Amino acid sequence: MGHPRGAWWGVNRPPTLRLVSVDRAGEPDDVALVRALVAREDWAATAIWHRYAPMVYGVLDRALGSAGESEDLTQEVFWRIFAAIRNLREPSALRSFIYSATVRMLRWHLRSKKLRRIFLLSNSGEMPDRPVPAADSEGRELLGRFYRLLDTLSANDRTSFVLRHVEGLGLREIAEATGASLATVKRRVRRASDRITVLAKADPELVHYVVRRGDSDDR
Amino acid sequence: MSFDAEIPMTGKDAENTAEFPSEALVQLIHTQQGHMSVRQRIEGGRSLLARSMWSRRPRRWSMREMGPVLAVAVVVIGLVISARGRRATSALSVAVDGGHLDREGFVQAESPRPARLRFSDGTEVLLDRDTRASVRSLDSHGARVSLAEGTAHVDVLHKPGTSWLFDAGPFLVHVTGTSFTLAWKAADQQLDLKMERGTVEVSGPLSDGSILLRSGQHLIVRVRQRETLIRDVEDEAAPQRPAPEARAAEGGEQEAGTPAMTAVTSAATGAGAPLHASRRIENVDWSAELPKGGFEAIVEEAERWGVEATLNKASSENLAALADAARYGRRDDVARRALLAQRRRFPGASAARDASFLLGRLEESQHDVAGAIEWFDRYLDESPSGTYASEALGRKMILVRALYGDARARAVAASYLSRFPQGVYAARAQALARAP
Repeated sequence: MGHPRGAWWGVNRPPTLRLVSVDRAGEPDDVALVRALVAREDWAATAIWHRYAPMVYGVLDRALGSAGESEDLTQEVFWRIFAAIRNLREPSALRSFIYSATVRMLRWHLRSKKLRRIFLLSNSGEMPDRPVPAADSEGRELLGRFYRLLDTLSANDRTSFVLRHVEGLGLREIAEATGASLATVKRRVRRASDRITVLAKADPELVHYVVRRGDSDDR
Repeated sequence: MSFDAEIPMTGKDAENTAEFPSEALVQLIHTQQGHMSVRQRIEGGRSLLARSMWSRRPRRWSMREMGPVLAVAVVVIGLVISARGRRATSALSVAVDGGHLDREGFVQAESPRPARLRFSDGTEVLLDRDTRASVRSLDSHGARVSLAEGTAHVDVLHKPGTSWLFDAGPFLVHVTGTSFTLAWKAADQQLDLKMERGTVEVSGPLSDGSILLRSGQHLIVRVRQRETLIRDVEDEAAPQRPAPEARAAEGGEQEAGTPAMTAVTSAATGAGAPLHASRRIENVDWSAELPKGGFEAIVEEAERWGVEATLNKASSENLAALADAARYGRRDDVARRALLAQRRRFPGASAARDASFLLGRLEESQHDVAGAIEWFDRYLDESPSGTYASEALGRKMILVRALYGDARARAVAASYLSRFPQGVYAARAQALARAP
């Protein structure tokens, strides 16, 4: 608080004493982190993890609805990023680099789940996992129904659907993140949306969350 | 590619928007999914570092990834398991010098000298006398050490994949390779962590996320007072303030005819030590003494001179230091008077503006929610870009929610997100903004 700031008797600064709200002030920027990571300084890996792990985990958890899967995959994303960090030509693009890696990991994982289902490793293609950590039973039930509908989509359709409707990305951003053309992304989003809408309308709980958005959407 | 800026939907984009999911369902997903806990971050980071690219060990595949392979090639699994078994590394071992383990597993010093934990990787933990600590777990990358009471001097040998955890009361310190001194006073609920080199992350109460500390920083957390402080060790060791005569020669603020200040030794200004009886309010420099921890001594000195007289004579810097000392010493009555005096006597000064925020925190601690909001508003009016602007707006959001409900708090949350999208209250503000 109000200790004198700046020059103090023209010689020494007073001891810095402040209330702390942890923020980014004084932390190394992404460029410095990438350079340190390339130089194999361990602290940079830790710092990148703590800066971006919540973002990666958030995208994965909202897409998959499974904390356990999301934790594993978040680590996998960063493991691969650290291994490939030398390929990042523009260090300031670290955030986008991580986001793209997250989307790739999501698609890879969804395809793996399909494979597991084919090989009948489990009935649903899911490994035993923790339940959706919803705060209330009604919400938990609703989200469980929603994620079961998502499980019926292909990996590409589900990724595009989630990025568009849950993460709120623009179609062009999805195209960049998934490496698909804009037209392909539009097709995937529309196909997934149509299918999910039909299934949701047949669900006694989810039907209440199907809303009309005007005649232009009523295809 | 940037994901920072949302690209608005074009008319054609809108045509691709179907009817599902509804906004309410998306809000539910954002409210209930995707929030990574501090512990998930700490433990996840630890696991990740243990297998980081420079660990030189081959990648370990998870069972989840092996699933399809399991179904078609069981024999390959056997080979993999066999290979993993061969690669397994042994856990660290630990020896105790100058102490022994008691029945509860705590290390007990046997001599006046500190007990020393020597780990097989070269890491050492020196335990001061009367310190209670135990080694909770060991693996090939580090150990988890629990500090129940006292002071530990830690020197973790940095190696690839090194990862250590130190519990100190409710706090968790995550270490990759560093030297520091960690103290936990259970009775006072106070954490004290002084960094010598490297970095650590501290998670626990009073912070939304973990706190990253680097070499040369000193963290103090007082749980009861709900105070978290970080300061530079270098500043603490800064030379004493020059003598008044020297300051006067430099054009300082020393008033003519004021007696020279008695030299203050570090021993005299240690925590709780009484200050020199012959000192006078015009000569003291509490702002220099405060970081050494003599909170009670500063307040006692003010009371010895008379609080009212002190408040009327003290400089702005000393008033600020007195307010801090009183807050840290849980003398809210004195703190409030000092802060109000600061505003009355030095209106317009930065310390007076900061006093508004601190008065808000004081009122909040006294459960005067409306009073706290008023002070936070005043601070935000006077210092919209001030040091505590983010904190003031974040606290206001929480208090408005408590007092008036979500609807009114949502407007504050929106204001917070627009001004401090990366702030420590951003997650709460987003949750509030999305709540149905």
